[in-house]
Amino acid sequence: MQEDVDVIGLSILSGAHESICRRLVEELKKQKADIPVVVGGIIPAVDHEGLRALGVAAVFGPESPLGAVVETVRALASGQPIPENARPAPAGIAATRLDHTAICVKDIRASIALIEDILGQKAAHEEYVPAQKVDAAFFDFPNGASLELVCPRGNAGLEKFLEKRGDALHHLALRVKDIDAVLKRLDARGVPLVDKVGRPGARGHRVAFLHPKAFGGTLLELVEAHEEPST
Amino acid sequence: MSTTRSGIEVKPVYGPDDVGQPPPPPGEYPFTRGIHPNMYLGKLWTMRQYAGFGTPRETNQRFKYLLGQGQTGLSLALDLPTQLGIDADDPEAEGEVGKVGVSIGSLADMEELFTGIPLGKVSTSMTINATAPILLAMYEEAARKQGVADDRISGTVQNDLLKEFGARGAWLFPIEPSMRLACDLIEDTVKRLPRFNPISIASHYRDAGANPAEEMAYTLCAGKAYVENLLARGLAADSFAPRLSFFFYTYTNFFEEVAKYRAGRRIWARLLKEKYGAKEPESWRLRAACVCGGHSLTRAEPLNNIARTTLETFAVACSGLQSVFTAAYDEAFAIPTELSARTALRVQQVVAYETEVAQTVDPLGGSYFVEALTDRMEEAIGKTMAEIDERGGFVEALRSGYVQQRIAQRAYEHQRAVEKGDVAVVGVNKFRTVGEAHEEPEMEITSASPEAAREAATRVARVKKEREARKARAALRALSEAAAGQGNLQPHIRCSWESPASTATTAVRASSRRPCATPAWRWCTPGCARAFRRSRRRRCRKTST
Repeated sequence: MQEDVDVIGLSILSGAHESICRRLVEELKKQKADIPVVVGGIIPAVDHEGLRALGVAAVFGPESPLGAVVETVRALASGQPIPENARPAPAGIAATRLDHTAICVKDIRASIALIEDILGQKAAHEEYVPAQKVDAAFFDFPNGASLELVCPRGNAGLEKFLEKRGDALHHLALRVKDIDAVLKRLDARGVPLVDKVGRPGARGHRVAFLHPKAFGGTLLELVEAHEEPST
Repeated sequence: MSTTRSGIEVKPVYGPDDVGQPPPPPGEYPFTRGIHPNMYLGKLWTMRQYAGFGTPRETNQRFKYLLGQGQTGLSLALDLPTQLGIDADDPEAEGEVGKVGVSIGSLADMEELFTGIPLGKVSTSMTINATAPILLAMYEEAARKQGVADDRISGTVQNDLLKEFGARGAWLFPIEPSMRLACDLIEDTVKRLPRFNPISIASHYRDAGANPAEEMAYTLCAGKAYVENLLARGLAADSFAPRLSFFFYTYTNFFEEVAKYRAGRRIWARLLKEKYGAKEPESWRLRAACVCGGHSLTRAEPLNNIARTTLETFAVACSGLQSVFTAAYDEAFAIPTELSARTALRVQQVVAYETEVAQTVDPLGGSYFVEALTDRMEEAIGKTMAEIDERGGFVEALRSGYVQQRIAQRAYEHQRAVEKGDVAVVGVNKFRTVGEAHEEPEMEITSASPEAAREAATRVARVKKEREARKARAALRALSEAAAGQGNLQPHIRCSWESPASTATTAVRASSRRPCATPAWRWCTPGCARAFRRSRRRRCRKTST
């Protein structure tokens, strides 16, 4: 500040980027110094949006093109907007894959029999999920995605869904890495959430639902995989 | 004509006209072909995987796991607060405790780290620099408490402060007091711990951007600076030179790496014998460890890194180094998982036991290309070393920023070359998978638990509360008085372990010698340190004006 800096650049390889950036941004605010901060280093993509939410102007992970770094710093220093091609894509939910698609059904036994007959695929897993008050059955496909049948057993929301729509597609589930961090980021952005923290779901995974309003009326579920013991 | 990473021109074919006199056999001066006549037939390289994170207990478990998998030495990674002498409960340590290594705040932590690991049998390499004097004192004490005699304590402290100025940045004191502490440790240790390497002169310049010839040149120049400091103390070269060790980086430019090590050994041997007058062949030998990985590894398509580290490890096996750390394929992400750490060790074991490379000493010796490239590398290294000499030696070249500037320039040139496609990086600028594989790969990421940081802070706070403040203060005062004089500080640092002040925490010890010139430093650790620091500050103010 005393040296009239235009941009502060941090290089962090230790993994402490969240804490360091937070403290720096807070200190700058306290000093009423409007100096943009950019960060580079070993920063996983899932953390990028969190850093930007703190007020960091740009984040550059490993293998960031030099030109983008230069243009961004130049733009920030001269008060211009960051050029579009230099702006890294927002991390968003940063799903690693589609985990499953779920159909809500009235009679789970009959539906399992129907799917086994039509798809020629055996149900791989069935359980009662107490936290969600539902019976669930999963049909697993070789690419890792699954089809879930879900049937309310005391879950008022799902019973209302059935009343209104009958057996129907219910939600898409996306696999994420750190569910609580993703939820925190979405919440900070004002994305409407049903669950603000992960809850126990089927197969020992932790899950959370976004409000249908968050995604054009389609219900999204986030799934953080239960760590399976390696064999 | 093509060139190597060091800019040496390479011909399509080499023949008898390209090589001069064949080098003497391995084990003979100047050791181009290896420092021992039988090399790996006598003793295979030490497989030493860098490990450490979270609490001493967690790292102790990882050490036991690695030893159980056939690893033959330990390599301790310490977190940044420990490297900088900041206690885990200091606000400045927030977010860093247990991140890039284990947090060691007191003797009790060091003892717990090695619980159940016999320090008389296992050697430990500690990557520690600014606080090396303290960590060594703790390590010795932990070994003694296990009943290990001084002449059985073996291992290495990195203790190379010059590369902190040149490339890494984790220094605490200006360059002269840093040199004093480093050389105090060397002088003191060679007298007392015959199996301990008091320095590992390291080549982080390479990972910061220097090319292979410059890497070897800067590192040997640093070696010269330490030798000259120790000679100026009146020590004979043969009393310490055999205990100096080196640490290098190895990337995938296979033949150039082999030539680099062969040329480096030759230059070091000549320096020690001819320039510094060492009489013992032990003093002429460049003993070196290395890391395979570092900046050569990529974030994109991380499994490709296993191919890279395999080639690098094979290059080292062909070069005859003494100790190897093969990096894990997920190094560009986070702390290695058990799977990636084990796979890295397996890479070494495959090279050692399946390729038959260890059956023949200097297997590439006599190759027209390798011998010619060794000569060219020697010239290139010598040229850079001469440029450093012209600038008044390495310490001066660091002080003026010359070395740092040159490294930054090289890093820039390399990045440009990668982006233009002049230097191939498979999966990044060549043959890159379009689509999902270029997004962040899905990897299991290990990270230190937040509980680890809390636990470390609690432990340090407890030590501060339970120690005998008056005795700790007295020990620190003695140390501080010694620091004002000219004598060797290491005995004072070590001796205070034997008193009840042995529970003094890492930070207090470092701060007792930290000059007030460090602007980032705040005097905020509670307890006995505060009063001491006030007096120290006054003294600093006096001496600095």
